Amino acid sequence: MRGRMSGRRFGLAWTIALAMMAGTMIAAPAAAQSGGRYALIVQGASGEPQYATQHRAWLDSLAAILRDRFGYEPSAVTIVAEQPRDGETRATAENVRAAIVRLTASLASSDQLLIVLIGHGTSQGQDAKFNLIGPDLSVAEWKALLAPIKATLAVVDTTSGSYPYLAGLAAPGRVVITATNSFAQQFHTVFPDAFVRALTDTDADQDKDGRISLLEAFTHASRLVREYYEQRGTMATETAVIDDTGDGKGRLATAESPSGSPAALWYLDAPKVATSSDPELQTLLTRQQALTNQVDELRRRRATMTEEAFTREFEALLGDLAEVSREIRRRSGN
Amino acid sequence: MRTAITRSVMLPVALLLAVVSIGAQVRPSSSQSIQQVRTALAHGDLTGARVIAQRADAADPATAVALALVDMFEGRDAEARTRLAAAANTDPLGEASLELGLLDRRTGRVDDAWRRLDRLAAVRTFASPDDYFRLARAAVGVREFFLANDAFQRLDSTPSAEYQTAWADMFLQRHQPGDAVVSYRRALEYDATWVPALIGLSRALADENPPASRELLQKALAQAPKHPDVHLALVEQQLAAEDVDAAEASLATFADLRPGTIDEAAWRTAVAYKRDGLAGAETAARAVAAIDPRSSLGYRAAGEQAARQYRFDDAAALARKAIALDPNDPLAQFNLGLYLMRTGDEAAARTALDLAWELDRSSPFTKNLLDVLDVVDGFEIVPHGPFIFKFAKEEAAVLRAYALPLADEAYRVFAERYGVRPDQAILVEVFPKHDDFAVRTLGLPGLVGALGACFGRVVTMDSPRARPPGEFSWQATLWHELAHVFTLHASEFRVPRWLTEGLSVYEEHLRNPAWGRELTLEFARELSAKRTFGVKNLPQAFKRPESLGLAYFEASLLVEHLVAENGDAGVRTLLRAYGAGADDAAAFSQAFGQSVDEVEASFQTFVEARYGTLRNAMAVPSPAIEAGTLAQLRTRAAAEPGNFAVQMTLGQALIKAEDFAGARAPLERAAALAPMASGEASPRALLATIAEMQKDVARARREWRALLQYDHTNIVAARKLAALAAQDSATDDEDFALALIAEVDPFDAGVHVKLGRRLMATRDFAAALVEFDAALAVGPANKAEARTDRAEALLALDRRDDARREVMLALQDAPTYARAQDLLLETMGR
Repeated sequence: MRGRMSGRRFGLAWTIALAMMAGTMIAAPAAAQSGGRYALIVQGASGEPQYATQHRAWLDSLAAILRDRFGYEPSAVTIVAEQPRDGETRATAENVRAAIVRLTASLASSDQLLIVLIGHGTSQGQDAKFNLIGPDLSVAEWKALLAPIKATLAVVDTTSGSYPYLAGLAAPGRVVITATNSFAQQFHTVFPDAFVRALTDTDADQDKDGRISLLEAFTHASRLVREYYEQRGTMATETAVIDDTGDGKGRLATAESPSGSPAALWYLDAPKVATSSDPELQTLLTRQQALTNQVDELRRRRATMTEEAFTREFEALLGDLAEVSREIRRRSGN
Repeated sequence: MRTAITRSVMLPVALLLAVVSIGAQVRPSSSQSIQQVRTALAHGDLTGARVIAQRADAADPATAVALALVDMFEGRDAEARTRLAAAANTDPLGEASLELGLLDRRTGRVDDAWRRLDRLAAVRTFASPDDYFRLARAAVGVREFFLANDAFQRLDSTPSAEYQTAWADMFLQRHQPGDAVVSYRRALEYDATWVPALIGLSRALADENPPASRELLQKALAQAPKHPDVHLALVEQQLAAEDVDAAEASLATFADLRPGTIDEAAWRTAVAYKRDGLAGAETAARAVAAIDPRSSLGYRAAGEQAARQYRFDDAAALARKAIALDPNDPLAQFNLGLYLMRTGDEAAARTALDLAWELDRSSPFTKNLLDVLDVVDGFEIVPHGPFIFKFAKEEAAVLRAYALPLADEAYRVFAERYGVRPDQAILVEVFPKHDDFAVRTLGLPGLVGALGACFGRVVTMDSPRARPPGEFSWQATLWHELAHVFTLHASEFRVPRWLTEGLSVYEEHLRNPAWGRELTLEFARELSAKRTFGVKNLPQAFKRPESLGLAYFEASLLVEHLVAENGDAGVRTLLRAYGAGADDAAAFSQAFGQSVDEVEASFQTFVEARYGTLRNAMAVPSPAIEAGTLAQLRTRAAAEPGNFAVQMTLGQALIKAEDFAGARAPLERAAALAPMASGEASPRALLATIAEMQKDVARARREWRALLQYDHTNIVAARKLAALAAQDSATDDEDFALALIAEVDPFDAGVHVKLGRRLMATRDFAAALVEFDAALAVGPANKAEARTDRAEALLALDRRDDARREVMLALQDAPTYARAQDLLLETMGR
């Protein structure tokens, strides 16, 4: 993938759009992402009843979204909670270790694992701790625990004092999101709420491909956090940051994402490919894919073209693509 | 200042050397007679001072100084100069030389004064505190303030009211009123009757604490009724209070006590401007020139009076004349800059302020104004009909969408109502940082309570981002300030403050029934406590910060009453009468054919009819409500169904007891008694919250909407109503809430998108386009969707090419976006 936008995102977009269509088309998992999707949600020690309720609500919402909206197998969502329910374990360091060790053993490199930390975090300089029941786990300990995992990994630390986790856990091919972007940000965060909302908010889908990538969720959640403070007229005490380059430096949601940003390709739902038993419709689908590829190619060449030439070609291609897409929708009854 | 720093650095070294040199070059300390005369004069005891001076040894050079001090106190500067010159020639580094230098400086012999004082400021031998004091005074005379400050610091441990007062005077001259206050107070600790300290402290507190300032001056007057400086300070105070007659009387007293001074001539120029405008000032300024042809004092004082009357063109013209006489007068240069900023000529203002800064780098006002000009330089300039708007670049796209149509409407309404059109462009500057607005307005940060200001044809105001969302309505502020533009013009800038503010608040209320009525309950409470002002006391109420808010409100009620009785024509006549120089009695007579007493009486009747019931409802319960059982509160509420506080107390107690159903009845009664009650603790807000808890969405909507009819900046309530209305598909409520949110917080992109879509649904495509433009300017949550929305509006407005360009931008972000694709085909006719 080159250029500002992901070619694969364009390529996937139409298939997802079609996946929702009825009639002659069927949606099947795409071969490219045939691995399993797993999640580990850790709700740490809350400290106070009000936080216990709030953190549990975030956990429940997130788990429900993963299962119900994104189709995670219930067994693929591991929950370590302050007050565990059936099938969950208690949020101690020992249980967190056990859960990660189990996932490490069972996940393959084609799988993807999302780890979300909800609760409180504290940090003194580089030494940050996610608060658990009993002894906490330091950044270094988390790093060591995650190192053997073969699956594609994304870690979202939604807590206060989470910033040291950015550099601490950053690794090539891994996405790390922290709710804060400085050592000084130590107040309780609203980022977890924003992140959960971003996963279901259609506004988060910036490229309107019907899917929400981790980058889109992060960008939208960051916006919701900013609005939260702006609408109250108070100074923001948290600014989320993302690293998907492995350098641990991170970038804000307002920064331009690098070419081939892994976070832009990190989708929570399973990719699907639409095919049709209707030969004419299949021809249209093939044509749509070809046009989409041409659009991607044109966008990659944009820097070498005059604006006028780009606009002319882009408009022509988009016109064709729009016509084909309309015809597909018409034939499929959508 | 470089020279001053050099000398300042040298002083400590010189002080060390002084220890060695004292034996060799001991200067005599000021003679006892000089000190005694100064002390007597500082207490206003002229007779005593005269006796002391005349009894002194005629052969002693100090006697000449003592006599000269008495002469100068009485205004006999020529005699004083003769006495001092002889003594100064004998001892050019002595007390006589210092007094002569200061006298020359005061009376326009600037070069002579400078030479003499500069030599005194170079002295580095010190035998007594008097030597440091002499150095300090000479250094102030040649504007070497760091050096003077060093010398004053050496005197700090000496318990002298005179030293502390002189030090404080320097602080005041250097725009450090806080430091001045400290030194004046120390002077008064040493001698509570030291008149120069009383006068100085009064001046230092004039802006910060006017009542205390007045009290201090009265104390000085009681202590020294014949001290000319007290009467001069009274002139300043009385002119500031617009009491020209009293100022003239004080000036006459001052002239009797100290005739023929340049101070008298300068203040007479100021009074002449108040009486007869520019022509009067021009004539009076001749007396200043006769004393000192290079003095800027007269024109400067007149300019300050012009500015006080909002006649900034006159003020600038007078400041220019002052500068023509004395280009090195930093205050005149500063004044010119300030006045030009208030006429809207910011380029010329910068030139003047740069010069002022070169002349005096101690003035925070000058620096602040230059800084804020830098800020304004970065603004986007939006010329629009009779207006020139200046917005912060990041806010321009959003604010112009709302501000420009509102300003057009204001111009149309006010030009017709007041029968006047400003002959020059109206400059409106909108500041995203409140302190920038405050500096642009007054030269200093702060001004916390102010939202906007009008200088005639210049309006400055907070942008919605200058304060937390919901704290104010920026549109109401703009409307209010633009009303000032017209009422000031209609009255030749002579409209009294109570009337122009009353008209502006009244205009707010006409534009939007919720605007300008925020203090209704407070007014009813004051009415109940018999603390309202009435027609006659309104002008005074505008001079007291603590009563300002209610003064605005009551003034608007008075205007409402005047308009009801006399129509817009009556108000126009009133404004013209003030413009012609009429006082209240004459203006009321011309406009309404009534005396002030008659208007007072009819206004009281109006207030009683309008607010009598509310006044009774808002009366403080008697006996006071005490914590009791619910049964007791119920009994009390049943006994006093017409008392707001009693009903609210019961309602809140029932909420606390979680009897939400039971709380409704008393809250409903409270809401009926005072429907304008606002805020989260208001009966409507509580009723809405109860309804939400009980999942009664329809009722919650009704309550929130009822609250918002009055509580027009309650953004939290508006957001709740919008959410509930969307949930219920209650489009009318949703439209109302969204419009209110967009009005109060125009930087909420999501609201513009929703509002735009609602407007599209009602086929108001032009209005929808405004909303989509605003959304894109703020930065929408989903740019592709927002661009597609905008493209749809453009297409609906038959702007096909624009629509195609816009949808192409959407597709660049989201090529597979079906809605955008379909729209593209539509714009292509495919």
